[in-house]
Amino acid sequence: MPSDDVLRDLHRQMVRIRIFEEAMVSVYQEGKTPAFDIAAGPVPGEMHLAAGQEPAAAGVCAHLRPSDAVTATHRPHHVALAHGMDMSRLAAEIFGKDAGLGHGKGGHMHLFDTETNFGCSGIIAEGMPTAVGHALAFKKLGRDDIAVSFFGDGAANQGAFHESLNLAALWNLPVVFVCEDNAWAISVPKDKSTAIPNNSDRGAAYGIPGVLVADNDPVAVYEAAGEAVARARRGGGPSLIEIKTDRLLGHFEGDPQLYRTKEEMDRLRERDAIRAFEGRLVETGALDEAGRDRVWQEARVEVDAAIEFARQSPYPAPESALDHVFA
Amino acid sequence: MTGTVGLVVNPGAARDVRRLTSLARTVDVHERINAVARVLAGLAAARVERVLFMPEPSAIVSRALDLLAAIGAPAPAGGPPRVAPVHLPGEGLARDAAGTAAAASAMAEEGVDCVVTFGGDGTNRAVAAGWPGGLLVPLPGGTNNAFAVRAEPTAAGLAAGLFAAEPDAFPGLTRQAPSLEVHADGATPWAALVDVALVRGPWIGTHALWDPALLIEAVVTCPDPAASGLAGVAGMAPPAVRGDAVPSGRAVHLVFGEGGVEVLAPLGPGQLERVAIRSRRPLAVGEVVRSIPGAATVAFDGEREISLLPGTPVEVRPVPRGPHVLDVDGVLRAAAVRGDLVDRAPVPRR
Repeated sequence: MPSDDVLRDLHRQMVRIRIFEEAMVSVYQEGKTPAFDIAAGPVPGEMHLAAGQEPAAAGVCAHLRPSDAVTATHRPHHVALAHGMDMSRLAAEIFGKDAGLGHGKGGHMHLFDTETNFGCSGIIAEGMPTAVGHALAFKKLGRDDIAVSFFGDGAANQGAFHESLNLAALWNLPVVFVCEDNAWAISVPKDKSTAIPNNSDRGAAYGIPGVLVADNDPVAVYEAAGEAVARARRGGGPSLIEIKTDRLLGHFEGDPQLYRTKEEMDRLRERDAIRAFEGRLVETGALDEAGRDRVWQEARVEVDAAIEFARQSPYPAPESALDHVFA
Repeated sequence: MTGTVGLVVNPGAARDVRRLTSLARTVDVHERINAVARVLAGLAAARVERVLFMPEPSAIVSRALDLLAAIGAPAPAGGPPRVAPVHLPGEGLARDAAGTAAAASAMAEEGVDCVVTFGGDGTNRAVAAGWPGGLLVPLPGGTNNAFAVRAEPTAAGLAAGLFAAEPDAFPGLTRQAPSLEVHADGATPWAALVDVALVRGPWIGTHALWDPALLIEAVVTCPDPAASGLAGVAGMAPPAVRGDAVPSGRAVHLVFGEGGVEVLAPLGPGQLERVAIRSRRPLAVGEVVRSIPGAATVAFDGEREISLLPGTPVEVRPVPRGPHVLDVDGVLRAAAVRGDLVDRAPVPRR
């Protein structure tokens, strides 16, 4: 049962993630209109935002330490922030500045942070074998840190998903596989791509317990993840958690989402997880209205400061173009 | 050929966090499809005229029909029974307990003779809510399955079909299960079939119950030392009450905490925990248990459903009225003795 402090922290994480993602929506569009030019403006390249998926990140990462390894996807910001990544260094990386996590050379999908043992990439399911590798290292080193792999419903059909689960089970590794099922793999609905309705069922093929969290609710995620993390830490091996969550925005910024109905989008907005959770926090007395407003104000200040830092930071010097890269 | 049988399969049962906190197994979609296919095979052999099923996103019944066709089994198209979904409003699929209840309600309106279910105790609760006093054949497709009958799906389908075709030929082979009426915060939620528990903390979270330290008190309809979940806890705690033939209304009220006994009981499948029980007493017929538990949730049949703020009273009343349950073994024994399946032509294969 999470304490009021934990509940307030879940709320705070979800709010700052939402504010950050919403800020990215407008920042990303700067310079790209009237004709969409992906290379133009302060944030060149693609942008995949996770508004609506906050409960999955907050509920899982609340159980983690900075030394636990976390891998994520092309839609990484919510996980990165929930796991403790510095928001200014994240923003600077997205803006391609030298003060960013990867000296501006990775961008929004390639965030690597040694302080929080976080990594992600744009290749579908890439983070899964990486997390298994982290878990293998922890086990060999005798550490009680664990690895958590965040991936989506589309990634669950990749070969790497099956290879990762198989190896994690075979070697009894301390890894938690977290599938964020937002029902869309870009524009492909799950029932057109996946032979079975629930990816949590796939754990059984490898002897890995699979849990379905059917509500996009931070407390439900927190409870289930707590058991999975504890199991991994005590040497009980891997687990698979599937979370039904909501992707409020497009696959990428600029995505017209012609494949989604207005009814679906309206339904998702109406059941916004942050609003529902926040309402309950106020009702139970864990948060008063002034406290609630303060969380939103402080989040806006933090996000504004991070973006301003990113704007003002210098670009990497052209002479450093061949530094920090493998070829 | 007569009779209409309803079929409700819950695609989401038996998948929650208890897969991690106990030895509860995952009942994956293929196991459900397999169970439904067996039920349909039994129903077809019993020459049921019509099967009405609850349409749901995993399309389990359609897949079960495909499975029957794949093994060359009799196809319902062109031969009995006719298998069709009930009509549901909106997108026409049941996605939650309310959808399940709506499906049961629709089945009752269509005149089903009984409903075969494959889900957990919560699924049966929803079906009972949609068809009050209806006849169920509840198969164990959930985590604890305290309410379900221990029957193999083919046998259940055959029994359900034989009964539906000729209910008067099987007198005395249904029993009415008791239930628990709850009043909380002015609301009157659906009756529980197995147990109602008050659990510390106002957050519904992931619904499932697994930590005995959070239990405040509970009312259990039918204590059963052979069950898992609170029915098993109530069944194991002294003074013992015979599990099976409990007179209607003889529910048990448990208060958890120190000062009484610590019982080793199966809180979940394979999860034998010491549960501290301060008191355990049978309730008289119609006796109401009233409580003001503080910040708590009310769990119905093992799942947290209602959140209570401090100062909110809860009343639980055991009632003898609940769904009826078919005696699968009894129906099949009666059919065997009478020779109902002797010289009966098989349903033609494709």
